[in-house]
Amino acid sequence: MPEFHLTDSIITQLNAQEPWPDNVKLFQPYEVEQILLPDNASCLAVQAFLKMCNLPFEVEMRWNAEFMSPSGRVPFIKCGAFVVSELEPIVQFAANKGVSLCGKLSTEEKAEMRAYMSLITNVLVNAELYISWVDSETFNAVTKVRNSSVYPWPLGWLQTRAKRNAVIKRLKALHWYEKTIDQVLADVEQCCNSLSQRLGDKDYFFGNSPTPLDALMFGHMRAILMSSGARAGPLIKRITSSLLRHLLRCINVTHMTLTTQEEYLVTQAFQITRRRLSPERTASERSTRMKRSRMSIRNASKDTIHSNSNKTFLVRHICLCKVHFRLV
Amino acid sequence: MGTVHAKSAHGDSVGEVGGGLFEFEEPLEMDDEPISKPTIKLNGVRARVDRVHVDGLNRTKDDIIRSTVDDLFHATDFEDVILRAHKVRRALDAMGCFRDIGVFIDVSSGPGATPEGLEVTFQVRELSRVVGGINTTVSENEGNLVLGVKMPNVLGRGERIAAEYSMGYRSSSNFSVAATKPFPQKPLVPVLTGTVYQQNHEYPWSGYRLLDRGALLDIAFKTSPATHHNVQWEGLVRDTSVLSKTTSFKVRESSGPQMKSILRHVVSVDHRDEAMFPTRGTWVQFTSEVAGLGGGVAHVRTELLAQANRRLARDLVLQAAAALGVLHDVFGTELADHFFLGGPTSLRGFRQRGVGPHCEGQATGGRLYWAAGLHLYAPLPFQGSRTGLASLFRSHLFANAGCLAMPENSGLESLESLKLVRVSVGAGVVVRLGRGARLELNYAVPLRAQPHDVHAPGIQFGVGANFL
Amino acid sequence: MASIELDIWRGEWGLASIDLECLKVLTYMKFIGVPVRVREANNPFFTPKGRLPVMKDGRKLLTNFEEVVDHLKSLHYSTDVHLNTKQAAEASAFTQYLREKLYPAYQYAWWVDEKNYCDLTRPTYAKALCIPFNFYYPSHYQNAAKEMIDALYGEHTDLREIEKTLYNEAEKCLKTLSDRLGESEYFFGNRPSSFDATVFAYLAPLVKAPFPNATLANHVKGIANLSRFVARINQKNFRHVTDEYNRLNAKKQSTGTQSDREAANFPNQTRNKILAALFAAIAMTGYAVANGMFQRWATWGWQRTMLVNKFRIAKNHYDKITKLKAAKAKDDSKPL
Repeated sequence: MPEFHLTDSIITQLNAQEPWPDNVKLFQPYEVEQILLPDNASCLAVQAFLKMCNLPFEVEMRWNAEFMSPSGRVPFIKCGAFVVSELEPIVQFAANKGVSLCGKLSTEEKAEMRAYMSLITNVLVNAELYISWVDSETFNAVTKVRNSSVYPWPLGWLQTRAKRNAVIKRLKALHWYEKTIDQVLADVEQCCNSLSQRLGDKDYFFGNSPTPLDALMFGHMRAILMSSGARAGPLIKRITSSLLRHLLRCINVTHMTLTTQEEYLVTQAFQITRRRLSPERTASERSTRMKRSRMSIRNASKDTIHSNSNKTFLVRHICLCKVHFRLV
Repeated sequence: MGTVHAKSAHGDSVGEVGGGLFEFEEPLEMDDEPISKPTIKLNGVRARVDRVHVDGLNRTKDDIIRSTVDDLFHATDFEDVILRAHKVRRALDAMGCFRDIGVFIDVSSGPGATPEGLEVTFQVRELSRVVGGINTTVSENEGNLVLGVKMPNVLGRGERIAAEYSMGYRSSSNFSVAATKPFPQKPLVPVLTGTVYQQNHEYPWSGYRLLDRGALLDIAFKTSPATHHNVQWEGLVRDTSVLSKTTSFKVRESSGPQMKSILRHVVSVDHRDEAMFPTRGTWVQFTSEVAGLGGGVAHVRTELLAQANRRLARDLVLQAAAALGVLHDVFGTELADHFFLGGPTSLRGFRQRGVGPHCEGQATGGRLYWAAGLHLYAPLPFQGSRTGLASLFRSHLFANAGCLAMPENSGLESLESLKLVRVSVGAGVVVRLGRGARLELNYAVPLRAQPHDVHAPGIQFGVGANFL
Repeated sequence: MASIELDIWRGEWGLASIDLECLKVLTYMKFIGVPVRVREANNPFFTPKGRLPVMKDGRKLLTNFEEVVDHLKSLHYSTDVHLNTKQAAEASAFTQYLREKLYPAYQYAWWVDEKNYCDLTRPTYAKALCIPFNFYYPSHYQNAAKEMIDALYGEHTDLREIEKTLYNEAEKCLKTLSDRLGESEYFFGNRPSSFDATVFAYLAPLVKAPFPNATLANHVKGIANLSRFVARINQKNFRHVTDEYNRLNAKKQSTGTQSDREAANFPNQTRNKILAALFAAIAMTGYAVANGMFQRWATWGWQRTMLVNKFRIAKNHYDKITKLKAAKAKDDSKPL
């Protein structure tokens, strides 16, 4: 369509001229009672990216963020008249404004970075979708409850069913639906191994500064650490120690560069550890800190979810986290 | 249909009068004289109905027919018999079970016949069990295939089921299934209707698309011949989505699925002589609805529509119309609940939804509105309005005024904001389409507008059922 | 080891196979030089997933590239031994990258683009299939591809917008791939790996097939080092296929006309034509019968017979009447 070409190019030209405004807002679902693992990963990734770029933004939570988004996926940012969704277009958008994290990379490194980002979106995102929507235990215990929490009955049920069908359709098209949970976890393990091999014992994937790949990796790792349900344990088990160290490094870098936003990521990092140990305290803490959804039908199941069999190795990992954090 | 003549052997006066055939092909108006040759004074002739036959009943249950024709047995003279027979015929017709109904009146014979006794025979033909149809419709930018199935008189007491399914070219499908159960014997003549539907609407003027899925329960009843009530409950899931990438953010914010449960009461009082081109009488419709008994939207919404007509000269009719609406939001009220004003059917001379607050060229609607219209109707020049094709046409001069406001956003008091009047005048031609809809071709000029309004001076074309 | 059998889609335009997956497996096997018996299957009906390729090794049936690679690895056949762990990680990342960015565009170009599908894909696959299956499989594969595009890009309602997005992404992907390859012979080191087989399988059909709508193919052809990469691998591994194709082409060009070439492409054309005519005739006759056309002919025939016999009938009547008259006269006279 020629008109689309035209408007697209005009938009790129227009937004290249203007610097990054101060009133940029990032829209995402409610973090406490609504957001699901795959969405949480991409929201965290975009937040981390913007923080790594030193771009100011404000997080706004909406129950219908998914429907407001032009691509139907969260998160999206509103920057003046422009609405841009998902990490890759946002990276592109920021680059048009002259802010880029991969300026120092050679073309080959850029190619490699894109490839690794694809690896994450292809394997981790699909695995997260699979676990959230196809795996019946997680679906019943977490996904169903959280996804329908913002809707009145019976709309929540209808909405969850419709969304599940859409996700299953996607996974079928990508031949993920036929896999078993063990195959999925094996894929995740392989993906994590590949990534940690690439990372080695360096701080970042490329050079000594973060890239969009680091942001994406960080988003997924932290979302997995924050996730709940029966499959959270096996998923966390797949995270290697070098990836965990990378996670903490990323937390630290955003913390170091952004003193005003310090509270945000670091409390989150502690929260991972604290929440696992004492769910009661964090529950109250969270409800005071976070805005509640407008039509909230509060789900009480969140806290019960944590108290399942995989506690032992959560604790093990938490210790690991703590140790590393002190090191950092 | 066969005709039954009175037997000439019974040469008494009743027989002579009854010898004429009373066969009503059309539902006659009660004002009209029922018989064409009023040579004998019928109300002087004593008569009683001995027996009523209803021929051609197949599925229809006896009890409902019996209670309908019961009225005939109370007749005391011959005119009364005829009038009551006519009334019964109309009642049978209103049940919607029969294709055509013939009435025959004869002197009674056989055992138990009284001297002044009459026999009334209704010859009916029942509608077939299933009536179906396929047709195609073409609207602005979409072709639709419409399949319709009707099952009249399903259970034998006038119950009917109607289903319609329309499939669009661009994967939008609408359907509705309605089941209706009349209670003709009960006081107030209630009619119970249950509907399940799915409908797609696009509103390019506001930049959003609606997909409604819901159920509607309706009880219609009459407290007087002219006063019609509807009490409704409607539960729906409304999926709002933006139409294009360029949709403004304000519209974007209101997208997403919502559930709404509405309790609604509609009362209308109609004293007009005709619905489409009335020449005298008034009409008032008052709608009040409460949403929020369950669901994610709660508000109170009332709307008043009124119309008065007066004949000035022989074919010259003056019509005054007014509309008024108030919406009170409790929570969750979004764009789709708002009032909108403007366009060829309401405030002419403005674009569809062109009046009131706009955001990047897209109408966002308001919470309060009023509108008024003054029309002067005349038949087409050089044509009589009474006969032929010309009776479908009228020419009119009009003046519209109105205002739509969202007081919260403009920072004005409610009454203050309603003083920002928009006015337009114009002239045009009106065509009536059947009984329920009309078509207008107007030339309109907006005289007063507010900065945000989108006006459309010049030729405007509108089709609709309700016009201001 | 000679027991390995491979069923694939037949080749065309100097390609060993027209299908992406088949080409992947075939190229990989060529790389390691494992002895294999390749058969051009004419229907995928008896395969486990309704798709080709199918590799048979003894009792084992393998249907996709990853399985084949793993299986051959277990037999100590592998091209990837020279990769270090980091390179292996990179290879798997790039494989996923192609899968995410190039595969949808590839499928779009082959199956969803209506012009390509009608003029190229369907005839090609129909030619590869035997008779009842060529009515089913092309549209079956098309539906699968359409479903995939819909699942991935369902948020766009306009197909042209999807096409634009897909091809943009694919172009970016090809550019990245070209940057990664640079001027080296293979992607990792100076020996082929499984990733080279994958890239070749994606690119070769795009380079060789004569697409009517060649947006994606032109993107590939426009990148010099990728085109060279394809030509190089083709030359090294599928020389005999290309040579044969060129020889056939040259022969056709020197000896035959356009129609001859077409005849070579569609060997059973005459038979098909006769079948088609027969089918049409039967269908039309059936229609005529259903509409009662023969009945009218029949009545017309009857009328003619009646006309011919009219005189005879009239004569018979006349005879009858005279006979009756005579008998009456007799009766009249009797009582008197």
